Amino acid sequence: MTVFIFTLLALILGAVYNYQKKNIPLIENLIVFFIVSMLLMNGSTILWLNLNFIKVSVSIEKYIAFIICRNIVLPLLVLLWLNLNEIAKTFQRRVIIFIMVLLVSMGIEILQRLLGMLIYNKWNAIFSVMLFCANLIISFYVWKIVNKQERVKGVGSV
Amino acid sequence: MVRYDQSFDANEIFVLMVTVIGYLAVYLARKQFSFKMLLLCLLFGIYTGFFFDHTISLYPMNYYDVNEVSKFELFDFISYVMYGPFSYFFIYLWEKLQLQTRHAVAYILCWSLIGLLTEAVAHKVGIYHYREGFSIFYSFTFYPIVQLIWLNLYWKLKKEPAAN
Repeated sequence: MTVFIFTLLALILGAVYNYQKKNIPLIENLIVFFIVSMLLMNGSTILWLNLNFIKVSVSIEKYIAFIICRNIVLPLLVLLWLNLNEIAKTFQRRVIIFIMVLLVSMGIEILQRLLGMLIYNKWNAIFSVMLFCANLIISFYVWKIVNKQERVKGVGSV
Repeated sequence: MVRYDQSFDANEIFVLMVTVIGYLAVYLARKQFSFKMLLLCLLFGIYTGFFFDHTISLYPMNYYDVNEVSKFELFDFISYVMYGPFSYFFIYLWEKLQLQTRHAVAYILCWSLIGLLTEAVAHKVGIYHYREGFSIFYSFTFYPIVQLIWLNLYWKLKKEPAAN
């Protein structure tokens, strides 16, 4: 059941991302995707194994659902936000989009807890909100830095 | 938590050596691609390392441990960074040798064997500690899949003006 829910969620987000109007080129989207995924993987492993702040379910099915969420759903959500943020014309809209994405992220985390995929030990929802905020901000600045880079063309440049 | 050894020995030296040599080689061959493409090439390798080690080497799967302890430590992080140059040279040589789509299977096979050989050395020096009946031959199934995804992604990016 958990794998089904999160696969469905990943597919829906993937479809939305696919149809979304994008001002950011694919290569920059991919760079942000990989960096965000790595941050999430490192963050969750450190919080789980090293600090014991959270606990991930020992059930294989729930663990796979957790992996889908960590490696596909949450990074895709960040990409959706980044592209929407670029399209949004006013500051007000950007703030609304930011809050919406934050709420969806929190909704996903609540769903993970309700389904028994994630258990808080020395952790709470406020820390999660802070972590999601940091994740969005980092992804934004990563994209800004990558976007500013000038092309260095060489022989057979691709 | 399982602790394999505590001293600075072969596994750390191997990781540092491969990382330094790999990135030096990338630096020398950096002009083949644009900065974004170079960054993406490196990130893909690092991401792959992170993905597998943070997925199948963690409980409840826990098929292997990386470096000295089953927890996440600094040298684990460096060992993932070590994978970056491999994915860079995978694409670099594809371009340099001007290979066509029909060469893809043989090319992937060659790189999978290189991956297997590197993993065998890494296992020997104590970077990987297999558990639960896992062996290097199971790893071999992952290499072609990852390389196929990477090559397809590269072909798709090649058509994009922003990657150029």
